[in-house]
Amino acid sequence: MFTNIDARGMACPGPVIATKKALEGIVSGIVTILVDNVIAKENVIKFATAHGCGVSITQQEGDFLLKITKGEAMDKQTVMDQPIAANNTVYIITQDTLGHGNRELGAVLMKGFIYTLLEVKPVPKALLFMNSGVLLTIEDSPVLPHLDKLVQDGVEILSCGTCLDYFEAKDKLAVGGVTNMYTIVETMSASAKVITL
Amino acid sequence: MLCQLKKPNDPRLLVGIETADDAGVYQINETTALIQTLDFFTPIVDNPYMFGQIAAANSLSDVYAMGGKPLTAMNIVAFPIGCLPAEVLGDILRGGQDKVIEAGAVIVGGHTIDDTEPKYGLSVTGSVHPDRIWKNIGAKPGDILILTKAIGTGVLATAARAEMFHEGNLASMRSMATLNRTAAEVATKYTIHACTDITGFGLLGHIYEMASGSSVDIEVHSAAIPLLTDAAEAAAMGLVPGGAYTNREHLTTVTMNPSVPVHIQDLCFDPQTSGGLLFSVPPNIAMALLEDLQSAGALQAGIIGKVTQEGRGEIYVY
Amino acid sequence: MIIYRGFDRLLSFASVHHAIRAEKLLLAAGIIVASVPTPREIDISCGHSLLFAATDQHKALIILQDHQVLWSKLFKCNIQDRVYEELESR
Repeated sequence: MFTNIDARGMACPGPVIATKKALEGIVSGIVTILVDNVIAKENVIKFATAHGCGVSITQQEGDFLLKITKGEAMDKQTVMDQPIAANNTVYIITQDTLGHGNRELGAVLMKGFIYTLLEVKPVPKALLFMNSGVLLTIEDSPVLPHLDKLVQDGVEILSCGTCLDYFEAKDKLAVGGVTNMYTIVETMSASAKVITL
Repeated sequence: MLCQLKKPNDPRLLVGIETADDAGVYQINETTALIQTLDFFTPIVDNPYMFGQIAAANSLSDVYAMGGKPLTAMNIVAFPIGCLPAEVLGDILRGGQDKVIEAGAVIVGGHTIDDTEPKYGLSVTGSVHPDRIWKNIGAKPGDILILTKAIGTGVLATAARAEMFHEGNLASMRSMATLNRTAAEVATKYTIHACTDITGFGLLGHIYEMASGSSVDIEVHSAAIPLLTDAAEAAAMGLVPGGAYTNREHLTTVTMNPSVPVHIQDLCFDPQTSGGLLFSVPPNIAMALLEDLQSAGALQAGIIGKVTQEGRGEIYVY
Repeated sequence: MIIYRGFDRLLSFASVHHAIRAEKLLLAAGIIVASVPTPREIDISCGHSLLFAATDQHKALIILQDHQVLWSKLFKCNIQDRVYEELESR
């Protein structure tokens, strides 16, 4: 969720007040704020870090664009207190074939497996694709229709950005979103069951 | 800019513009010198009566910082006549007058001009014995530094504009409206090597004036600096006025130990309004003076550092 | 990333291939680097970044330039507070 603020021209402590209001309005997400002087930049950074948010700053034609990330950090206690949800299962798919020994067989098995995920309820919470597994989420993947259906059923499909980059397939992603190591680890930690293929 | 003016050549001018002192001192006779000072500013609080009290206390402070007693004061007023109700001006002037009476002095007149933005302050005349003038130079290696009021008024004023930290704002107003009279009267019983009051250049800015003027280096213990209620939290949240950043930029002889938290560093440069007195005193009387100040009501007075050696105004904050 | 507290520069890359090459080159030159997933706060396409100390910045960038390693953005960073300020970008 994005909130954008243009705080240029605001007298001190306007930018901090605007940041405060924006952060109070969200549970987690990103607030971006544009300021036109170093003092406002420093003060907004201080406010954000005092509230446990991360900040990235870029310069934009003499102004400063601050991106404040209010986290969805799950501490261990929250995870333990959560009742195990029926669909709180995550699959990590680490290659584009299933099993070892024969690639051709593996391709067939993987197609079958993804299809079966559709049939078995409840559907998993998420599928995380890594290493050559990302080849299953790009154009011309043999399992695209199955993955599209899983998305319609509420399954989160995420592909590791580094892996897509490595296979030079970033612009060929055909289903779901791109993720990073943080989200991958967090999703795993927050799940009742993690199954790695 | 003042350096471009011709320096006066009058032997009776005991303290002039050549030092960064707070007021001018002119000898009248063997036992009396006149102190003259003035200050005025735009409203820093919403309540007009409190504004009057704070502005008056701030103007009178310079007399106390020289070791003197205020005698007379004149109002300096700028006011948008016709745009703001006359009662507002009345409240400001009442606040100022009550403070002058509290100081044992008397308002003898004043001058008002029409201006889009209200401003108020006083021109004050005081007296001091020529041999007992406190200057802001004269600190000696080994001296202990005692501060009589807590700091944080700049940060809390910013917090007030953000409508945060209400309690801190009240504490700040009370502190700004407190005269330095009691602290000065207590201190006149002791040997004072140097004295200055803490105002717009922030704590470190005024410490630098004392250090460079006295040709010494000073060490400040940041954890010992008395802070107004909520000042630390407000500073940590980025409610830091632009003046603090400006003060820090202009002060190049400060070395901050990295262990000093950033918000405390900011408070060290925070511009103060009507701040306390900073005394540089011989170590053997420091504790007695501190206890005396606290018993007299300066509850937040504290030892905040010491003069380490001869030098050129280097300040080390740890 | 508490263990990388002393590192106050973060470098992102045009692609993970360049990031991998960069890490090898800099380590070979005796510069201490840590390869980390690109922090969430930064909007970067490459998922891997390198952390190092500001004092090594000049030497590191020269090495990368000499070997035509394409870095993308240089940040001044405070890992503990999660503050990343962009210093340079290509």
